[in-house]
Amino acid sequence: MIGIIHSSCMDEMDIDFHTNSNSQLVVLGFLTPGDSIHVYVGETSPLSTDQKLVEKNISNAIVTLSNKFGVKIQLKNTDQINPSIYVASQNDFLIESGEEYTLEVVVPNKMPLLAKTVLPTEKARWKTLQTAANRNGGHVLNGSWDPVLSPNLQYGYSVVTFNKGDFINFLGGNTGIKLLSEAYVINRNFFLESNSQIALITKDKNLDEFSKMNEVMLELNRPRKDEGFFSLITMFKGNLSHKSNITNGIGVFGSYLVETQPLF
Amino acid sequence: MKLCVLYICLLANPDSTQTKLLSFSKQDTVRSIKEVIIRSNSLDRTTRYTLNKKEINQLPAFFGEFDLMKAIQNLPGVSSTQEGSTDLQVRGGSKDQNRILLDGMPIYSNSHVFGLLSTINPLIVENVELFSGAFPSQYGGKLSSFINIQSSNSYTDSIEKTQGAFELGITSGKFNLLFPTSKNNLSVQIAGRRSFQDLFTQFQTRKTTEKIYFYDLNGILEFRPDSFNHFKLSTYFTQDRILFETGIPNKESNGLGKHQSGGSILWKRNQLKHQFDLRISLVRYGNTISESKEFNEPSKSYRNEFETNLTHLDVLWKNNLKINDLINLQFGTQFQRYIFNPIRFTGFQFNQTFDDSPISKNHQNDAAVFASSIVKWNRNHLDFGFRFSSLFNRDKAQEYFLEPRISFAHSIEKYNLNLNVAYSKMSQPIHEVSDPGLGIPLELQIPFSKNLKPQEAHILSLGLEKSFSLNSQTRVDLKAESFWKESKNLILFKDGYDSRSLIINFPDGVYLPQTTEDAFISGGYGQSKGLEFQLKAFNEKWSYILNYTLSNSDNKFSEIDQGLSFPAFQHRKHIFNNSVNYNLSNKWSFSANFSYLSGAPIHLPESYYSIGSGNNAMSNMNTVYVYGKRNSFKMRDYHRLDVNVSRHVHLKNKSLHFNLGVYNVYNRKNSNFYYMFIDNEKNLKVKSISMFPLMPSFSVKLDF
Repeated sequence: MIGIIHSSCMDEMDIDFHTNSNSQLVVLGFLTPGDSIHVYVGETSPLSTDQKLVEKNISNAIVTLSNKFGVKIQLKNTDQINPSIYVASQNDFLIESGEEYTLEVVVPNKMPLLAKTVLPTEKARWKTLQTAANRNGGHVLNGSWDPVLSPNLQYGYSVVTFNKGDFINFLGGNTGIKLLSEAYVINRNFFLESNSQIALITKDKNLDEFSKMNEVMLELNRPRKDEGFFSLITMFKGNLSHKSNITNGIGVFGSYLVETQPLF
Repeated sequence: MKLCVLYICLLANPDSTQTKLLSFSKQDTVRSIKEVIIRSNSLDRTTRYTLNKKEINQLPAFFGEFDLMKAIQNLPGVSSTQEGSTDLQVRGGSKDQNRILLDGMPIYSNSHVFGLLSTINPLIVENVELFSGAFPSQYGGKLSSFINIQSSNSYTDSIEKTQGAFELGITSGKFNLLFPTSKNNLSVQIAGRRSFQDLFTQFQTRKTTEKIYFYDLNGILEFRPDSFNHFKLSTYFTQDRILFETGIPNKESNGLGKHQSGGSILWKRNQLKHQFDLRISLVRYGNTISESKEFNEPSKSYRNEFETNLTHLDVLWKNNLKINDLINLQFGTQFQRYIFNPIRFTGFQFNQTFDDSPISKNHQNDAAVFASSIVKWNRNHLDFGFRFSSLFNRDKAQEYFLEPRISFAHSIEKYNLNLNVAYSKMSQPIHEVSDPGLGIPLELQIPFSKNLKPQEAHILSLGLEKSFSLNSQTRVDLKAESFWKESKNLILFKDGYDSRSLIINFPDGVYLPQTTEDAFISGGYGQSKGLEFQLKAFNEKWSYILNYTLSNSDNKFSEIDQGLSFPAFQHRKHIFNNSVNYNLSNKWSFSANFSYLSGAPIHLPESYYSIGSGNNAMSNMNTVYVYGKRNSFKMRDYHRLDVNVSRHVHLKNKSLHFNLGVYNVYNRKNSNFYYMFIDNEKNLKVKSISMFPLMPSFSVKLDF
């Protein structure tokens, strides 16, 4: 009787929710050797259940990247699909491991934004790596690697699989990774294909924190209408914070190195 | 004709806390008169509230059950954590800061089915004391309250045949049986309760079935070999289980459960000027989450079971020594040992069983001595003492606490007014943490360590009480008390962490700590202050109780909001409870209860940004929320009205009680928890889940 009453009495109600928060400029920039440089500039909007979520892009920003020697390059928003993404080629500005870079973003009538990142000195490499079939028709991956040591900097790590030619998702791949006895280990289930590759990503601390927050937020945003009661029990029930290294704004300016190899 | 007048009299001296039995007889006159009750104010702690069996049964039933915890939630300064829950928040403290004792046995699992009902069978309850300040020195280990539940005393009268009660409601059935006193002054009491729902689901043919059941069982054995000695053995067993099962295409079962078992042995010895209690209790409490799936191919079948459990041994020796008519001494010692098994994983996969405790067992010892002196003179009552606790755990962390306890009361006879002031220092070695975000929270018991220090609190209260008669029939009691409480060494989950982070084998976890402590921020501060008010008016036919609390409760952590204060999760600005009971006749009675609570603080994001489509890895981003100050939003206020009508049928040596009630008469959709998401059309949705709409209930009780 309790279950019948319980399941038939659970009632959902929409809550009207509005905030009056001031908008802030958003900058997302990620550097890695070899890839084109991409920086996103946008703006936050107050949350409201009355309005659809929109992208507030900034297409008139002046985005400048410089290295410790004072060499600068201005990024251009040439992307027709999304004019808020500013790009530059590494043929024009080289990104190297262990080096420090400064990003400056100037938007008319706003305070200038500033951020720094130092690329990891070297990339983490696999110490052990094994795959085996799991019970759900996929594979379970077990691996380990030693952390990259640096006197002043801490790094984070993620592992993603991809098919050759695809983008490597450096904003994901954080699940199932633990530090055990001074080495990192991973235990995770994957669905792999014959041409799957695996990437072990070494990230600076800012990118590491941002990517973890983003990955949990993907879970929070997942529609739950049809999920069972057990899923409601086990969903994420913590708090999230948005840590930012952008002066006068929010977002992240981070960097990473990638070690890739085929799985099969 | 003889006149014999026999009555129980509380001495008119308000300084006395003793009950004395006086009898008079006068020659040559015998006449029977109606019951006479004489009351006087006891000059004692204000921050002590009591409930007896009658008062508990006068509140409207919830699901046909007269629930003890819901009755306690109506007391000043007390609220529930969320709609329908039996968990308690006392004077702005979190729910883990309360100790519930049943005949001295700690009760860890105080709720069935997500807090629907408390785990204490109301049929065995004789009376309840709630201390929310001015704590006696014997109490320690918790910051906010001690709830002392006494089971029925089988020695109120010598009985010659079995007595008891049976009660049948729409959710469960319960009983209480008291077996006759033997010549050796031995009596046995057994009580039990079990739900029905799982018995009916066996006949269901749906693809997915839910099985929800709970039971609790009490056994009490009392032995009085002579007038000096009293032995009491109390045992207690309770279990909750919620299972979701499906048989298609493969048999799958997911479940939640908790269980508690325990026993206590008490030896009371009462001599002329010296009484002592020696009590030993042992309790085991555990929570489980399980999942299993069966395949045709056995090697693919699996079962995973996660359990956290705690064993608690408690030995208490308490003495009361009367020095003279003015001075009493209380002193004693207490030893408690806690054994934690924070996480245990068992089950089988690929035809192999496993039994893994990734966080090893820990134990903790708490040895305490306590003493207090109670001095009464003129219209003054002074109780001063201390409790000294020493804490040790397996990791060689050690802590010592000296906890002064002082309370002073003065009676102003001219105005029939009592004034009270009290100060207590308290410590708490075990943290119980709940998930801080949206959704149904799970809770974990975490022992103190070198980095997670025991919580401490200072509590100051100032109060007054007054009683007067409206007329010869109606009496009014008024109580008002202000409190201020400051606590430290609070802990919270770090951002990104929740209870899943501590389930080491949880494969989809992003935030996985290296040690338990890594999941928490510690060293937090809490401050609560408020004003409580209680009015009780009663006569033979009706009683009316009004409880109101105005309070504020903040927390402060250096890692949150740059160290600024923020509303604590348990903050409720207004708590208002209003209940009335009316005896229309000796056959009919009516009761109603109205409750109001300010909405709970909640942490929701303030703004967002979306990147949208792109031709690079940024397209793997979703909408990103940006959060402002912690707990800056408030859930909807909570209020509801319950009513109950009872019909009493008195038979020879038996009585039947039919109870018809309605919970939440105007069908208020009170929020149990919120969750949010973005739908396919990019609309933000914030949803409130409520679980208890208008619900009629019916129960039948037989007393014999």
